[in-house]
Amino acid sequence: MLFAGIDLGSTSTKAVLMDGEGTPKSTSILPSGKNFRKSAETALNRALEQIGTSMNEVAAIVATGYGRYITGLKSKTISEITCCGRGSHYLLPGARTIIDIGGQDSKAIKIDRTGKVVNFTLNDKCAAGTGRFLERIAVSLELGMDEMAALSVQSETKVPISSTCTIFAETEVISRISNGEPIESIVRGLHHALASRIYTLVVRLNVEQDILACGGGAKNAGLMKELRNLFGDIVLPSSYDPRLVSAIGAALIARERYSGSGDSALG
Amino acid sequence: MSKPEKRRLESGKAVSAALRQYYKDLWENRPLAWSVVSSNPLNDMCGVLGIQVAYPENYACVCAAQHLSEKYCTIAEAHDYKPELCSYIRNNFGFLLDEGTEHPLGGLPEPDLLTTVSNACLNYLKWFDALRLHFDKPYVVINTPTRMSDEEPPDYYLEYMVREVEDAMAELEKISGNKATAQKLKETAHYSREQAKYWMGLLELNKAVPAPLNFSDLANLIFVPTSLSGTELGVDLLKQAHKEVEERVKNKIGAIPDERHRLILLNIPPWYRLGLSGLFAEKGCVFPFGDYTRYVWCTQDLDDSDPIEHFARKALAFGHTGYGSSCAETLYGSIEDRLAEDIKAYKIDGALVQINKSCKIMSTGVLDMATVMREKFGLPVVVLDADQADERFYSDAEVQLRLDAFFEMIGEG
Repeated sequence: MLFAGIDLGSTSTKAVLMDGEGTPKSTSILPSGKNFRKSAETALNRALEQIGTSMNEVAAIVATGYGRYITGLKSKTISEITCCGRGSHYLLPGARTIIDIGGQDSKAIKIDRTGKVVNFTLNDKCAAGTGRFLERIAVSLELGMDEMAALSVQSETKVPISSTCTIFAETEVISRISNGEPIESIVRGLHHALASRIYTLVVRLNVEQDILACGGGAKNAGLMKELRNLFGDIVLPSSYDPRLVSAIGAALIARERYSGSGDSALG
Repeated sequence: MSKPEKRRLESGKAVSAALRQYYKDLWENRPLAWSVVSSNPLNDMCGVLGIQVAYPENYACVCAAQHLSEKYCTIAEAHDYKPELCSYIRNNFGFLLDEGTEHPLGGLPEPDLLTTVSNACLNYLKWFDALRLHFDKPYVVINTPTRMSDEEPPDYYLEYMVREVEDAMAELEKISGNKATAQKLKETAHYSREQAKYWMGLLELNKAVPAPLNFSDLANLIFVPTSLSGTELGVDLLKQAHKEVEERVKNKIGAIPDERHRLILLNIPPWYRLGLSGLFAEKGCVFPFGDYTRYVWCTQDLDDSDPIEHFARKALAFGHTGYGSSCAETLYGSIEDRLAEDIKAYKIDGALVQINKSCKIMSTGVLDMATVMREKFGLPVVVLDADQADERFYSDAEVQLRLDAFFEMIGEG
């Protein structure tokens, strides 16, 4: 018997299959694209293929993420805030503060010792506090995200960049380049600007250790360096891609609800 | 989940009918003043002199509720009213500058005069000054001294306000060509006092469990203190509502069928999404209390034996009676006692806090209050990021995420 967690994010769709003991058995991550239903189905099928099984083995599915209501699957929906809290607790039981940096939003979540969400904050309706901020500027600098992060980590200095608006920051970057500022200082300034935006979200929660970072942004070494400068120690999931945390939480909830209620959590 | 049964107030229907009639009557009677709603004695004083009063602020809510804010705000911004301005102002100028002829409730007729009071919002003064230029009409302003605490203001505040009221009355008499009679002054001050009493009575009754009124009921009834101030009709409508709500309390009839959570609502709601309270009702959540319904209007029993002094006190009553508008007030603790009192009295066990892009006054301290409610009172809190009357700043997906997470936090996921 398996339990599935599917996280339909704005950038990528993640699927996790978990066994009855609560151990993840397979995972998949693919770009969300335009068709969320298709992405959800493909992500789930890929995870099933990895362990050579079929949908018949799946007892319950929980969908989360911005596309949670449009999976087309027979699933329960739970917000990614709750799922992220559960997944973080599973991966790091001492976690109390979570920084989730996604493509469309950044979240700070406070959980108790059982993994229950006690408080959360989100960025306002602006890309300047999210992964899109860096993605957009990487494109205009003709750099890959990893390449940009590596330059940022190397840099000893940072050029101040406004974090108010992605578009303004882009213009500012172009003007800094034309002024002859070193590119590594500029990209460090960008990572610092994003980290500062995230900082204001997180401190509102009364930060408690351990801090866990997840979401696509947690894979960015340049951003993590700047966040660690602001918060001190931040833990990354050690055994799983940090983008999978909410999908793991969703699978855990699917398993709990199925077992707890004694009936299928499907539909 | 099935939608919960709607339990609209019978007396709310009379209020809705009065609202429709009010907008019709605006076209019938002259002179007509445009004014602001909050605890503004000028509205009562206009009534004394037979001056009809229209409220562009309320009308902006109507425009927003009819999903016209995108159109009107865009028009206003195209005429250099910046997006940072209050959306009531932008809806109002968008309506005025729109070349079309179709407007909600038939539109607002042009004013013969403009009146405002400085106790509520500094934007009002500039807004009405711009209207003065737009219409080239006389503008009557009452200036109120700023009060920094709940303590009874010194005598010279009242003396100053009485002079302001007398001067304004003289100006209004000149503009209207009518004289204020002692009888009419006495009646109007009396109705003004009675309305405040009934409004406070309704809020008092809402301490009952289950709460007889939800936010949507209060948002409907609030038309009375905002637009029918100092009128007999206003008193009658609130009296009827009070009677019906008393019955509800006696028979333990709640505003929603299965009340499980009682939430406080902070800030002006997004008028284009009043259906949000239905979403909460589906999860057993009712809003018996909010700062907008409690502290924005005159909710004090002010002596009416001297009508001019009553009006002066009414202007002074506003602007300090809420939770306060400054972070400093919250940080230095003066808010906590009042919040603690309200939370206890209304048996509040959660909060919906809105950061309202338009209204800096209502929004400056809300995040601090959210922190106080979480940390001092242990309440679950959800913060929404929206605007009172500019729908362009509202994201359904984002709000749904915040609400889902909140419902899951309180065990209603």
